Amino acid sequence: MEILETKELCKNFGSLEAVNRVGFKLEKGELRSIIGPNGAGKTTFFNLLTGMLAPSSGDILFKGESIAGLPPHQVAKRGIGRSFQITSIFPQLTVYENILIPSMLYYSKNEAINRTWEILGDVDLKDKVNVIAANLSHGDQRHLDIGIALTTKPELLLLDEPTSGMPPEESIRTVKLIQRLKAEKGYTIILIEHKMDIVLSVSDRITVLHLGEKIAEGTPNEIQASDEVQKAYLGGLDKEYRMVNNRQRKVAGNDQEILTMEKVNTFYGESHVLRDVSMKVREGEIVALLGRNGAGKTTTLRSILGLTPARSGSIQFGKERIEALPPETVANKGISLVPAGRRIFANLNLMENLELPFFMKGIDSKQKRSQIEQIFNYFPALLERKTHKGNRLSGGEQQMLAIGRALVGNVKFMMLDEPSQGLAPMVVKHLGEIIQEINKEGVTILLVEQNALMALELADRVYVMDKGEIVYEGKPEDLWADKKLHQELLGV
Amino acid sequence: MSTLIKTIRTNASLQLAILSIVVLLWPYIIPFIGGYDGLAIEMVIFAIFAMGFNILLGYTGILSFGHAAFFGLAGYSMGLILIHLKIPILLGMLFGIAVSTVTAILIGLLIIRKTGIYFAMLTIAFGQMFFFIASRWKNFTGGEDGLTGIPRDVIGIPGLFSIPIFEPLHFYYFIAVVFIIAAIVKYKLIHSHFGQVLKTIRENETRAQMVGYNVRRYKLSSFIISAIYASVAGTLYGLFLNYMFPQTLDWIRSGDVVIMTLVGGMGTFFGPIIGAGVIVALRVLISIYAKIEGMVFWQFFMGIIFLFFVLFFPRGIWGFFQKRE
Repeated sequence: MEILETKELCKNFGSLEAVNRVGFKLEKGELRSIIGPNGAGKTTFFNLLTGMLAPSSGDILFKGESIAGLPPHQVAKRGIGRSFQITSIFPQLTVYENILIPSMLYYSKNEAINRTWEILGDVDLKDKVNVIAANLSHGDQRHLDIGIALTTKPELLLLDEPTSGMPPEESIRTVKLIQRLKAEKGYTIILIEHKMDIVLSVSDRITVLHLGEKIAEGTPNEIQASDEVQKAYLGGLDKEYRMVNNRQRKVAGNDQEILTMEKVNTFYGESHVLRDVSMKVREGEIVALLGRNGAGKTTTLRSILGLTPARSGSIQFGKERIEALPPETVANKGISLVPAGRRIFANLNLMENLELPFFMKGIDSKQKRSQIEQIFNYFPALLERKTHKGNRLSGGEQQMLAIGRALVGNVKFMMLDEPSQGLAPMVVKHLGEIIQEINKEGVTILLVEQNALMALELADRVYVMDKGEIVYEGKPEDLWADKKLHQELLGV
Repeated sequence: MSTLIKTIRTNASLQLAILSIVVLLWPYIIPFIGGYDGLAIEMVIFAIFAMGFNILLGYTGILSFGHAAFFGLAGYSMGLILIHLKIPILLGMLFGIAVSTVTAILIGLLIIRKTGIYFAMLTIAFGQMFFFIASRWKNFTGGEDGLTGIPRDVIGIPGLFSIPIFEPLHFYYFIAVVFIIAAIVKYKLIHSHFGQVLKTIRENETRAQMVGYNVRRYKLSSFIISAIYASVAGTLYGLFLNYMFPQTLDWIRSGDVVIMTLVGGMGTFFGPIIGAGVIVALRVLISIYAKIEGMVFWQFFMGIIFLFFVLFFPRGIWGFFQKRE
């Protein structure tokens, strides 16, 4: 019997269809993984199931009853428990309180205490009961997050990237926990996970989402063999990949390196994110940095810019060492970042958004006028949107604005973090052309993407990251030609 | 000695007993630090106010800048009914508390869905509405002159018992009893399942909701309970002064209780009690001694003290001495 079924489930945010007519069936006792590139709608799907978002249309049946539109606390009481992609615990309470307090809603006091110890045993935190949760290691916090989800007597357990931010050896501990929860405790589990090795080894079946739609479903073997899935991960465009073989575009002259990273190691608190990352970008190049979510791509950009300074290793820009410099100094040397998610000021209009960096960089009005003109030359579509508020712009317009904003000043090196995220294929193609144009004007580009197809089309050279390390360096056409190699992007 | 401290640290009943003894002896201690009965009374009244406010701010993590409205509304309502209907004082207090609590329920239902700064702003807005009613509706509330003539003779039930509370010291013991009851209730409350849930909401509201708690209902309850404490304090204040004035409803008074809670140590049981005592005492002492060209610059020194605590003792007086787990 199905424990969970969704019918034609839809959720749109404005014009973005985050979840689009998803039909999903789950057997009791099954362990199902949901995979898909960033922005595929996986977390939105979880938010719909748990009542954090109300569906735009469609229905959700849990044990045969509709739960669509119920508030989260009622969904929880019916037996759906959930862990979070970004660790969600009660930081200033002890580990014991973190589990006990929620348990008391479902059990009498003595039962709750027994249950708490049982859960603490399951998630391996029995010896840390009196530790304040905020002081736990990242891995233990992730486990505590799962533990809290177990307090609600769940019949269905939703785990949102339980291993995110964990080094490989710690991920193994979490995988064992998930397997134990299924085999010994009999939970039905839906798992969102980017690490394909984990997905393939633990899942009964896998559902693939892409741009909000379900594009494939099957056993791990079937999914591994599916062309469609390969394309979703590597591509994102529906059309066939077309590699421009005779890449005539001449690099702006010399082979001078503009950016050199040597054995860079970066941490988030205790979590070791970048491991000996070395990378070179030459002047005038477009270099793509690929890899799945959590591979360390954004952290690489943050380290270059000094937002998350490297703990060891060196970063050289032109002839200068920049690894110890604060972000504003680095930015003034001509490095700019187009951040993931664009970061447009929602309540300022397009023009105000664009003018802000001029103001901050103290650029005089004459220069400002000519630069703004230049930016509108790249993005003529933005001209008629000048007075629109940031949050009324479409995803594509926001992306253009974000790129335009990053061009302000004397920019020599521009880093783009997932510019294609959440954008329709047509817009992605247009964006690619603009990036090429900007590059022709002499701006060196470092492009971070999960959606590899656009990046492969544009790039002169490619780096691939996995679990914080550079695992591939080479030409895009070689990566594309070698099926086995580009499966590495999938982590197969 | 250290075993004694340890016993006190771990034994809750003992802590409450010590607190009660200190409060009962307080009028005999306070002359040594330059105080008098009236000061002791004011300290205990504001301790009740801050203690309840802490349930909202310290345990639930919700900032209100409008709780003086409940304090003042209860005092005014009680005063008006005592003046016009001449009913027993206890009944008048209950009436004042009831009016204020019902108001808190209505306001709470309306604004509890808002969070953070929006919630705080709405509490100011509501608080100021009552402030302006009190200061402008002269025929009913006495306007800027205040509501005078609130009686304070005896408390009791006609025919059963009656205790005179006219003398400040007698009145002190009346409020001391109220204080001890309020403290015990609060202690039970924050150590109950309900109190624990409030803490989870403070720590992580989304997650509290995701494990099945109806967060909005808990927040509303916390808001109402803290308003009841404010109301109790407000009625006692009206009795103490024999009159109420519009400034008791002002958002500046609401700010005072925020400061008391912060300075004492929010989210701790004893912190706000100490905070209220310290702030009230300092206000009086500074007003007496720190005059510049005959003008009282109490708020100026208050600002400095507040700055000092936020910058150097962010966990408050009690938080500073409390062992960090």
